[in-house]
Amino acid sequence: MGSRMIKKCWCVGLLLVFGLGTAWAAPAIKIGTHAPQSGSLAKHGIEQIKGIRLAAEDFEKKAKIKVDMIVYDDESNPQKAVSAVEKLAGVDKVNAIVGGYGSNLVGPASEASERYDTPYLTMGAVDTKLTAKKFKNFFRLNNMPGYVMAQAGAIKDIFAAKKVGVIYSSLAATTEIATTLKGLLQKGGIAVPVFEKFEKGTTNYKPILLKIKDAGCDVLVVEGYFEDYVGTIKDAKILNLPVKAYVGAWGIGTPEFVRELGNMSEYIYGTSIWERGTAPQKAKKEEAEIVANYKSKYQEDPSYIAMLGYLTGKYMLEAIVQGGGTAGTYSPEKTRNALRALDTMSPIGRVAFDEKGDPRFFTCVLFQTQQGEQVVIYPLDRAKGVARYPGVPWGGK
Amino acid sequence: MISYNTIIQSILSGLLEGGNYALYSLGLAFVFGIMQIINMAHGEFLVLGGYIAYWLLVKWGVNPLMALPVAALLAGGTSFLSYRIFIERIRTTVELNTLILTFGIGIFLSNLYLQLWSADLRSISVHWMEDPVHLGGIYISLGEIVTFVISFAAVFFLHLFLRRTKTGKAIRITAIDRDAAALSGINVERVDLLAFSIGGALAGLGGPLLGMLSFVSPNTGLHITVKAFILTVLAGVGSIPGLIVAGMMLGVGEALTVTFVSSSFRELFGFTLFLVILLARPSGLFGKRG
Amino acid sequence: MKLGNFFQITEKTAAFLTFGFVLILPVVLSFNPYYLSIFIIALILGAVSLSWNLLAGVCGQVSFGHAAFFGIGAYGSSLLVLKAGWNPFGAMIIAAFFGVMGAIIIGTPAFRLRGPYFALSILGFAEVVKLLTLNLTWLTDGSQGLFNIPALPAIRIGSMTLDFFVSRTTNYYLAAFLMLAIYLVIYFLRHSNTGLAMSAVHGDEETAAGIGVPVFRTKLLTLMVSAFCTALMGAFYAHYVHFLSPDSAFDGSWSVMPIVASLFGGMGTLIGPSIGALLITGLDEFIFKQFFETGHKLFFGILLAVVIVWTPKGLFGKSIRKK
Repeated sequence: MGSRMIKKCWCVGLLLVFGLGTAWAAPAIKIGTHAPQSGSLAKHGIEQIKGIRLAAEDFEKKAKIKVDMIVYDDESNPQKAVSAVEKLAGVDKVNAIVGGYGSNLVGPASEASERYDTPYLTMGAVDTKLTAKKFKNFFRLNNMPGYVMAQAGAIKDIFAAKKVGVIYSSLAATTEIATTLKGLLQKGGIAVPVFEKFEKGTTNYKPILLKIKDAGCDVLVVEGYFEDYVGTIKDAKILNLPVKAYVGAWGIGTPEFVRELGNMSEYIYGTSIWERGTAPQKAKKEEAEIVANYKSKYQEDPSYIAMLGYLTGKYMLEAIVQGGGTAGTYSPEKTRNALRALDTMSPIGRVAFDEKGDPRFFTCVLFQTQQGEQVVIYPLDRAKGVARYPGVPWGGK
Repeated sequence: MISYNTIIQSILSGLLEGGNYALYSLGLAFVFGIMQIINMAHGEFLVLGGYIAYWLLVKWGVNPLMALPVAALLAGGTSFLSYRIFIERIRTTVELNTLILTFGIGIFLSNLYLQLWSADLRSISVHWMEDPVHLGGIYISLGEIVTFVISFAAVFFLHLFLRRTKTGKAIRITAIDRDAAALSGINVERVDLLAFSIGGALAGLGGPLLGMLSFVSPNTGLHITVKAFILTVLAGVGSIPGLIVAGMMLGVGEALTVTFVSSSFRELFGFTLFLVILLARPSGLFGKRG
Repeated sequence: MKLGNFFQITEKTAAFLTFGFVLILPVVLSFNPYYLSIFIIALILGAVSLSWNLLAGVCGQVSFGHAAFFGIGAYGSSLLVLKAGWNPFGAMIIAAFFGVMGAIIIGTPAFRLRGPYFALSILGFAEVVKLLTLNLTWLTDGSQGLFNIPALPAIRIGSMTLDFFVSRTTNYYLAAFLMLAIYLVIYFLRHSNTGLAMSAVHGDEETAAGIGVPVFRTKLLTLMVSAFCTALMGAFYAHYVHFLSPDSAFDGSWSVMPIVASLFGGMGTLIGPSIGALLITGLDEFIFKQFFETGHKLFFGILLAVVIVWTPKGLFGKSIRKK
């Protein structure tokens, strides 16, 4: 007992010395986050929080301002997400909220944050409807068009495909991407003979892939999630599906993806907001720094979700400080204005928000996995290599 | 536009998947048939088997087929403990209580997996098993054949065990008439414990196969329990071999729904079939009318 | 944990105590919107549990799929408001009747089955309705869900305006009022001739039929009342949360949690299930969440098992005397 007391004294002493030495420039910032830490979206939510946590630590070091970060699990459940926001804004009185994953959760959550007049920045909700209400407190780093443009562009400009089969997971975000893509392709004169939704938890993709085969599609687009890619690629291999390219949406080419699929990940196309090394020239240094810090904190490479989480945390914290000055009264209005005024280069490209809180310059890149590396092939001005087309990890056409 | 070949290929994939459904359901059907307990933690026992095979493969490169006995043993052990600690004490009360109790155990286990192994989806990749076999215009993978055979064998041996061995007969007698069994010198408490543990072990056996064919995650369990349940009712409670036929029926039905209608109606097919069978013939396809 | 050995109260007293507690709870929580929002959900759950228990505890018919009626009510009311421009209050009532229609559709064939088979057929029904909601995109917007469901319109009583959009307090008391109304319906139903018929069916169907109780009609009527109340709460939920998706409206927890709450509170009582609902919500919020950010439901699983094994009549089952 005695030694523990002494230890405690030591800690307090150290804290005092440090506290005086660094002389915090402003009172602590309280930042709130809610994200699924359990339930169906937990995997993404946990990575997101890791990113935000690192951003808070880095910010503390750089700005010399203490950050109180409060995390609540919304259990992938909309009503819990609303409760979480109400607690953050109403009880904990945070200066701002970052986080949220899934349009189903962020939708009601952003409504609550608007009610409490608390700025809210997310990276996990792309549904177009979310910004239709023009909330003044809602901001997001990414939205739907950015994903679809990269896919449609490559299919048209690089593959010059005639027939495309699109299959998609029945979840909200993938449904919207698929529908938007279909519209864009048809407008460009490309036929979409197979356009079908499959349910979450599907284990046998062969019947749906056989439809692609019968329709004679050149390109197979799968708008889904990790398990859907693994399932469709395994089944496509078994069927030796005669297509020339396999294009997916998010989550392709991640370390987990390459680990699970091995050489079956070769030639697969995916969109990406960020993978290691895709940062624009101006943000290369920042990217390297974040990756290094992340690795030293968690002993693993950051996923794109972790990176986006980091950026949401970073921009929000900076906006709070820029808006509120040193007086210690960070006001939501000033924070919002600071976010609206933001225009900067980041590892995911140029970041700026429009009136509705949508990103003005967000675009994904389309990459192809070549020898285990993610090579950006579209848009052409950011391309690092040439697409191997036709090419699928099984024989194909 | 649907080619002949597609239909055949589709049916075949449904048959193969249906065979696996039978194994995924075996533990639940067995426990339900013998003990009238609907084990809501069934899926979690199965997922445990999947995780064990995954870690054995990742850490020591153990072939998932070799991992099968380990998975069965550990899942059976978990099942044994659940029974000894909790279920035993309320074995004789209303059915609903055991249902809620096993549901609670299921919640506990799935959240424990989340704590231990994160929410990552784990897929067991054995590359040689994913290689396609080409049979006159029809493609199947080696893995599908292997898992199908295992599934069939498990059902067959369970059936044999119940019919031919002394213990198996004791289990069956206890299921039919508990009091008579006790009078004839069978230790019915021991039989219950044994049956529940076997149910867990059978579930554990399905885990590695599920991991090889798709993936396991902390959330997979409940989904499997529900599917197992549908199949148990389709087959008719107490009919172990009926599971294979019912599984194949479900698998083929699902596959053809995708081929002829749309894949978004796949699940709907399963549940509609379930409802129709339940309402029209509650004893299932192969159960005794009663 | 055998509370029954320590004190005994009547059903009426227990109900008075419960609703008294519900009445003053917001004051204890100093009208904090966050805690109110937690307990609004608890009250919704409490009301659904009461309805579930009318069917299970009183009439002896266990359902595993009350989420079906909850979701039907939620979607029904939202669609009437969003697509047909109805007043939300009127829509809630009509949506509750949709629930009754659902009850007739599934109850008519399913009540020919007994025991677990009845329970399971309702489970299947809930899944089918959910999948239909997911796939009838033209009506329900599928997995995209319904956004911006209007709140209940403000009510003016004299100079007072009860707003349901922002205020958590008014929503809380409306939920409490609905729970009370449902309790009263159940209470009077239980003490009517129909209630006697229900108990008879619960006791033994053959004996009941023997003394002239219309078994099938009694069961169906009970399910219809139960579904009406559940759908009504579903409709309230939709207007309170302003957002629905098939996953949230037909969430399996709307089937499971009423069972859990009823078991906690005691299925042999009428008020017990709502006590159970308040209790488990409080435990989860104030105790379990303190331990883990993730996976706090782990405790919940253990607690569930412990309660079932050691107090199968519910924590208050023995303390509340039937009267």
